[in-house]
Amino acid sequence: MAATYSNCHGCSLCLLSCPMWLQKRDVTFSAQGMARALQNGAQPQDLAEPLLSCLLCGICDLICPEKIDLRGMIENGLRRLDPDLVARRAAACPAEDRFDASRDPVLLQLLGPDDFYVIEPRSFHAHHVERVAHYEALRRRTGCGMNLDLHRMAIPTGIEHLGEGQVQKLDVKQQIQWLLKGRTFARIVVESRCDQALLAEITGKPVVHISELIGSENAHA
Amino acid sequence: MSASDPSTSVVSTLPPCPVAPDALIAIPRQQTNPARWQGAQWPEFVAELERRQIQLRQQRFETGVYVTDAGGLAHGLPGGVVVARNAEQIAALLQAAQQFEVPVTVRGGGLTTEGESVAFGGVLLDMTGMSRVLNIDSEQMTVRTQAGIFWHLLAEELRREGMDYLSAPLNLTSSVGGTLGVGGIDVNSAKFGCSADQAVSLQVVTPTGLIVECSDEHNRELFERVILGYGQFGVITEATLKIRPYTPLCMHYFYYGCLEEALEDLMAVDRSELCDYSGILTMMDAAVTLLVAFDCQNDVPQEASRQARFMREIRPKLRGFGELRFALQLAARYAWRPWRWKQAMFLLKRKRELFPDLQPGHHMEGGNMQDRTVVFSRAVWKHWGDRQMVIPDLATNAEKFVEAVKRGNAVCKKYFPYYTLYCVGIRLREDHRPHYELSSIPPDAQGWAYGCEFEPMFEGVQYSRDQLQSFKNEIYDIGVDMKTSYYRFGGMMKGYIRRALGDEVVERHLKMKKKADPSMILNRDTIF
Repeated sequence: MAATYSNCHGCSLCLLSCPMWLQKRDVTFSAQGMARALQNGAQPQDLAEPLLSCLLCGICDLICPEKIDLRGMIENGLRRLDPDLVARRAAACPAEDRFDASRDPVLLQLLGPDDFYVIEPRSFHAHHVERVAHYEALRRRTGCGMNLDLHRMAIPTGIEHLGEGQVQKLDVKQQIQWLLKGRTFARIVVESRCDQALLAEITGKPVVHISELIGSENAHA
Repeated sequence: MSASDPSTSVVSTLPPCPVAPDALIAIPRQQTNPARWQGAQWPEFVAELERRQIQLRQQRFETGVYVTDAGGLAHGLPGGVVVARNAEQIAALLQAAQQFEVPVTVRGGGLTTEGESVAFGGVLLDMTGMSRVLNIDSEQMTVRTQAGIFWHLLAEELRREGMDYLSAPLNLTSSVGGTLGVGGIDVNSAKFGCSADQAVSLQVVTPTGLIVECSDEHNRELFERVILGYGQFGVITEATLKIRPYTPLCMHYFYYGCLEEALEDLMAVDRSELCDYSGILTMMDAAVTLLVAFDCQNDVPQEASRQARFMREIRPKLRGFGELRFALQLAARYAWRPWRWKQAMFLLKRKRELFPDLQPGHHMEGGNMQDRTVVFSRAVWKHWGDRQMVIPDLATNAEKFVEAVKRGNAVCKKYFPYYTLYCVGIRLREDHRPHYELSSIPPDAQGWAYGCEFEPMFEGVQYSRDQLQSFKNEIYDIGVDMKTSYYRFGGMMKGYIRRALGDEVVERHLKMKKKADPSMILNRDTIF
């Protein structure tokens, strides 16, 4: 039988890379906090704040030693709050899977130590086992920065959360500050078009989409 | 007078324990607090917190989050939860708690195994709400951080600056404050000492609600009591810790079929002071691994590196084998013992599962390990974590170490088919000897102390609480007999403190505790 929230025993591992916990520093705002609250009789309305703060980035699913479907748990809670919310979010900023583009050999010449490469987290985490070694190798070979944390999870920008008409609970600017803290770069390369405009506005640096980067190189060739 | 013979004790002023005197059969103990807190003055206390604008979470779905600790054997519910936000808030909370005599249990990562961070009524103070890094000083090589931070998160922040902490428990979710309160052991503790010894200064909220900065120079007495003080003398709210430049790690593993030889070699390796990391990890006593590792030294010629010197001077003296030769030796040993093939299959399965996780490709570069904090800790959770964790331990001086581990190993064998031993050395700081009093550091240790954890691997088998408790007791009885100390001696195991360390030292600390915490509210029942 698949593990559910009732299998959570509170190890706290899911807090470590969770964007909302990192921002709020309150266990209520984590997959563990929600699972334990559900074990103790919480209703979705009781958890509205954390549910609406979650970026659905999928990191918690990867890190949970009990292999609980935590993202599914959160999506269920969101659907009970607002039946269309999950679908509206996905439509506002679809997860762009640019893995194939990232494997284009030309990228090794185009990326360098002055670049900061932002992996699209949802598709990356959905295929983490198969993809993590590739991105880690790309980072080492080009010397670029990347939105990977020590667990080699992709830190989301949170921008995909800003779609029109969505309830916004997480401070995206604060999330981006954490993402870029201590990083030095002259240019940002993104896999998700959703990230492009706001990252450029906040950082004042050029932000290019990976397809534009590769496309321009191919045009030159 | 023998500490293990309470009938002859004349020092203690306490009456015999009136609370479940037979809770631990054959273990006489004394209870400082005559009874568990029963909720007296709770409504008045709650009203006072409201007046002071301290948010108290009292709904069941909020308090139930904290129902147990990593041990998973002690269960209790707080009456309310306060998420720590700043020292002033904690000071106000403790002042109100003193006034209304309401117990406050402080919790960091909740990684205790004996219920020390489980609240049985009263307030639970969740310190993870104070987990921000305040300042990284690359010149002084220190970091100032809020104490509720997980070591992993501290590593994450330090890495952005090319820095690393000195030593921390191999556990991602231990908090800095909780660790400084009990010790903190890493595989580099033989070089750097326990994590608590890397604290330069602390901000502490005393049990009566004063906010005090303390260090070896300022408020030294408080510093001595709070470090390794099991949370009895204050809440650590901020800490300044030593840091160092980040370096990848070069790992070496040596394999032994003889536990005693491996233990002796571990101590020889530590005495050589040529390696940066050392420790022993076993699968029962059948496969004993001595881990030796080095920080990468890119600034010195290869032949002059510590690693090269170690390989020249120490490696030839070690009795451990490389992986292939050890595998052949094991195969030969099991080939003639078909009744032990089940164990052989277990070893093989364990090796196949564990080894790749100790060198995952995306954390290895040029044969060196990146971010050991993540690699080791995730392996620990994946391969040793469980819903219930029973990890009795013995902490001894170097002379008693081999015998203590051998005796503990025999107890493990008696109770469980599968288990692990984890052994490390801990470098002691002579100037911190007062810190070590009434702690896991054995009073008779000189130079290095040694610790061994005895952890059963349940492999899906359900063991009764009685069996697990009996196992712990039998390990701890070795400590009483050999006059050692323990890492996990609080909570459910506190009955052993007086037996192992003696009434005199406990009484002295109790007197200090009563003076510092008149209503005995802070982490009550954990130690005294």
